[in-house]
Amino acid sequence: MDLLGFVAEVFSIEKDSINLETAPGDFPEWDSLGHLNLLSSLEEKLNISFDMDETMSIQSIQDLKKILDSKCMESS
Amino acid sequence: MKIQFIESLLNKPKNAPFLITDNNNISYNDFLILLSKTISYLNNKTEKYVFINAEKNEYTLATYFACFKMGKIAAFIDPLSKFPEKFVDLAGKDGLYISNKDYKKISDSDYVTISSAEQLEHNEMAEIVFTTGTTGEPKGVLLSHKTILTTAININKFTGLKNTDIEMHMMPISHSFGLARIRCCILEGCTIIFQNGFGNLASFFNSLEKYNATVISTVPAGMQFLTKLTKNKITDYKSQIRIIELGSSPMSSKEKLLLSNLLPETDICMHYGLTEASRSTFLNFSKDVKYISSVGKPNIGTEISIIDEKGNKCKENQSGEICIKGTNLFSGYIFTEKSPSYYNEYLKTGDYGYLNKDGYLFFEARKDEMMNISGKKVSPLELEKYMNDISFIEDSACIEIQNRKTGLVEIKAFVVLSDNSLIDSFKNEIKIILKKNMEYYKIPTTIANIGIIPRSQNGKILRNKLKEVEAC
Repeated sequence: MDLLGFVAEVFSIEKDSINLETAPGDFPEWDSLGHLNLLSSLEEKLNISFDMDETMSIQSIQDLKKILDSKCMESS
Repeated sequence: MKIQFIESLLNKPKNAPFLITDNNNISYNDFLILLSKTISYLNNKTEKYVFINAEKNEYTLATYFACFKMGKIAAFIDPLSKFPEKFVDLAGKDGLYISNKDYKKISDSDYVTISSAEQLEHNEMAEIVFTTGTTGEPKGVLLSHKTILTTAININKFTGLKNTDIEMHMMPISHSFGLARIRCCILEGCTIIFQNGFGNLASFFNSLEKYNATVISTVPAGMQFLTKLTKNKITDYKSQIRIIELGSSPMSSKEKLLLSNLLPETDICMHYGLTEASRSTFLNFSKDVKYISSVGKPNIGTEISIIDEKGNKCKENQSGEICIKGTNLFSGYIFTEKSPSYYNEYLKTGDYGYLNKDGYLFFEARKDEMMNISGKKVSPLELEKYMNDISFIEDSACIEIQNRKTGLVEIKAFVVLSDNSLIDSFKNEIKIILKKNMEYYKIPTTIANIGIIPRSQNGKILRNKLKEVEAC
């Protein structure tokens, strides 16, 4: 999955403007509501759900990628 | 005239913590030094109105209180604003803009001990808070020193804020609610922790724990977000959190009770008010549980009257326009030809509701069509104007909807396309175009194609029809 592309699409921003180090709050669209939309969009697209510890640990797109990678490993 | 907020700053022990940000821990003394330097920096500026880019940091607050001391009028501009100059230009030659470009010069300015809270130049007016008018144009709400002081005293009386409290401040300070919390904390001598919303949950809980924070001030959507994403983790702090103040947007009784049950030891206080009449009523979720669906009772110094269409005072439980009188009223609009409407000494709010036999106010509807997105007002007319300017849109309309997955309120736009070949790509196209002119929170989350926008005979958009379409 092109995670950066997906994040850019959810927030309607240019993909070039973000990278794996990008964190919640780094651009205005990634506020509380944006965060909730991002996670629920991922849950819907990938048919997964985030638990509380996972949600709490997301401090960058890299963190999100690690969680998604581990979830894909679990399901494969 | 003595400025009580500066008196409070001067009276606090020097090493007491004042402000905690991502990068800095600032004591009351550190802040007084910065305040002094800011006064020096502004000393040779002749402009009467100081427009401050409202980034959440110590420089912004120092500029704000420097204005108080110097008899200038402060006005915060939302840092997300696409066009800050349109605010500054309102004051013509009398407008000065302060942003992060000035911080270095402020730091390098002279330090002179502030020995008193007396104003250097007399001015009864303190500040301008900008709200969004019905067509999206900024509307300056002028507030006096007397009003903001009395309101802060009355808020603190209701919530029971103490000088030992440590507040997690989650909101923008360009908005009435966020700014008033700063004044409440300073008046009491509390510590403020600046957070930029709940986007970074780890940071929120880290600060809550590390600094043993006792107060949270936020919009209802913030607490909904917190409880939805972190389940009931907030209950780990139920003995620690003394006060939560909520406001700026409605909250259902179910959500109020849910939060109250999660935090039974916390005074959860929710207010109803306008920028023009801040904190007109207060509701304490546990003490006022009998009338949990109300917005509470008038706060100290405030009276409410309900007026019917003929201008007569309504009886108990009879709906009409909510009108407010009291020490919390603004001093008028500025930089606009718009003037407020009054019923005798009562400000006509344009909101509708009723008072019950015990004096609780029940809010029913807004007269205008403003949308409320997590406490931020968005004009559908402004949004529709920009959408209708897009070459491939013939007509458009916007409504508030509740996201079925997240439960939060967001904007949905309906558009009539002039070019149906764009059917697959129009949504992103529209968002990208709108972003050039509008702040991100005004951009519709969802956009749908529709054959025709339902309108009344006189051309008014029938938003309720669209809401019915949405509900189906």
